[in-house]
Amino acid sequence: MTIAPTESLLSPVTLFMQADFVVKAVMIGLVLASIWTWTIILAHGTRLRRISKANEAFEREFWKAEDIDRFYDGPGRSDLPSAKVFSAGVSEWRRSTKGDRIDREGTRARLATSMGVAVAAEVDRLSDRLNILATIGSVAPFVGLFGTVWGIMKSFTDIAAQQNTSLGVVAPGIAEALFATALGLFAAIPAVIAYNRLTHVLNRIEARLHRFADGFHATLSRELEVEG
Amino acid sequence: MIDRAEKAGFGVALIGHAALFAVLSLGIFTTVRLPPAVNEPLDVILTDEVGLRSAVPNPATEAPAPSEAPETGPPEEPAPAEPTPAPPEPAPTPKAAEPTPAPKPADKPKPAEKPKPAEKAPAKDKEDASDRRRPDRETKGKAEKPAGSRLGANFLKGISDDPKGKAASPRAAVSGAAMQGLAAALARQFKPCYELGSLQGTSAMSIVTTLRLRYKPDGTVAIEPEMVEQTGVNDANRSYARQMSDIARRAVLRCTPVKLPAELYEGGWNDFQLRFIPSQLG
Repeated sequence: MTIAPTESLLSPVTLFMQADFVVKAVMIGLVLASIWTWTIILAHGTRLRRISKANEAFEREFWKAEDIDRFYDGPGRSDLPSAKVFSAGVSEWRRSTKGDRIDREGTRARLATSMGVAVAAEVDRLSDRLNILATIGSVAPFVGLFGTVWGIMKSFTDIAAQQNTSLGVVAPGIAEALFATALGLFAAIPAVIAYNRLTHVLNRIEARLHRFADGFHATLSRELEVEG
Repeated sequence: MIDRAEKAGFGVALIGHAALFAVLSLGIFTTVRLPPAVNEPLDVILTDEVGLRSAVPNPATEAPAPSEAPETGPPEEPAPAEPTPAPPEPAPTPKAAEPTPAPKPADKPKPAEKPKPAEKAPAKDKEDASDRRRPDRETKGKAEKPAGSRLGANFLKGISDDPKGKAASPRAAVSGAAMQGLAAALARQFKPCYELGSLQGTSAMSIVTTLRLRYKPDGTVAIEPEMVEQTGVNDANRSYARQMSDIARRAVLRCTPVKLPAELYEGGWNDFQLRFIPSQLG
């Protein structure tokens, strides 16, 4: 009745192959979730960092630029969030100042609104997949737990069937079952950490966009008074 | 939906997972886990009671000790009987013919007397009896020689020390009471390791397992305990028989080294049989 401590006992493949089909499904799902999590972490982590740096560079360029119109036709055309906010402000400015009569208050309000909308749209676009991380982080442990409960149920059924409580009968089933929980945590922990980290980065980007929008709005307001 | 960064991330994640699983499958982390599990599985069952089967069977199995005892007894009676007939015939004629009897007649006058009873023996029973007494006394007195001549050094030495193995004589030295004491001490020491676990209270409790145990002087197990017999096995608990013997053996192997008086080692607890009675141990 000794348990052969074969090396393969802890091998994921062995554990998977011995598992019940429900547990197998859970395991496959959790592995896919883990892969997806890391895909998002890698893709969005690098993208957010890149965008954050590019935004800073863009804003530095902007504040150095002398002529807004020329800047708008040059770097302002880029795909960066800051550039989008900038172009939203400029296009609104052009539309509002096209006519003969200029409503300063109305123009200010419209500028603020359009740039706010642009900021919100950009943040939405950047935060696209983060909700997936949140979902995986909160649900994966439960899915793993489900697999574990199911596997342990099956182990106990085996015990009942064999009338034998020796560890040799119980252990493999429980090991498989616990493997499901391990996978759930394996997927969930990075997801939660990455979600918090990426949310933090995203918040910083958003705050920076707002500051940029406010600064640009102030500049345009000044311009508005000069023109008026 | 999926841009280039995500494709790259997906590739990296996929490769990373594959690598991780490969590493796990190759068993880099496996060493930690099961080795202890081998002997220490959860099967642990407690046995509380250890009944000692007396050491007697062991000495009995060894030929030397018992064989000496019977020999020492009989020689006295037959000694006179045999020597008497023997010498009488040769006595007159060939002393040289038989080297062994030769000394007797030379040393003692009795042989001379003996011949009479021997010859007369068939005629008179009374004299024979009286003669026998005499030779007996004489043999006891001097008789070491005649007995010695027949039995060799065994007669004297056999009883006291020599024979063959040290084991034989010392074993005899450990009394039954001492063995009972040893059994009690062992029972105390094995009790914590004898874990019936879930078998507690089941029909398996009626299985009594007898193990043969051999220890080194330092109290460690010399040879893996082997099962001598199991009693109380019936249809209801037959499936537990093997488990019960495993439980007993595990108790022995886990509660090692045992602490027992060193003076009782030889012939005592170096090699003996122990009965594990679950109902008493539990």
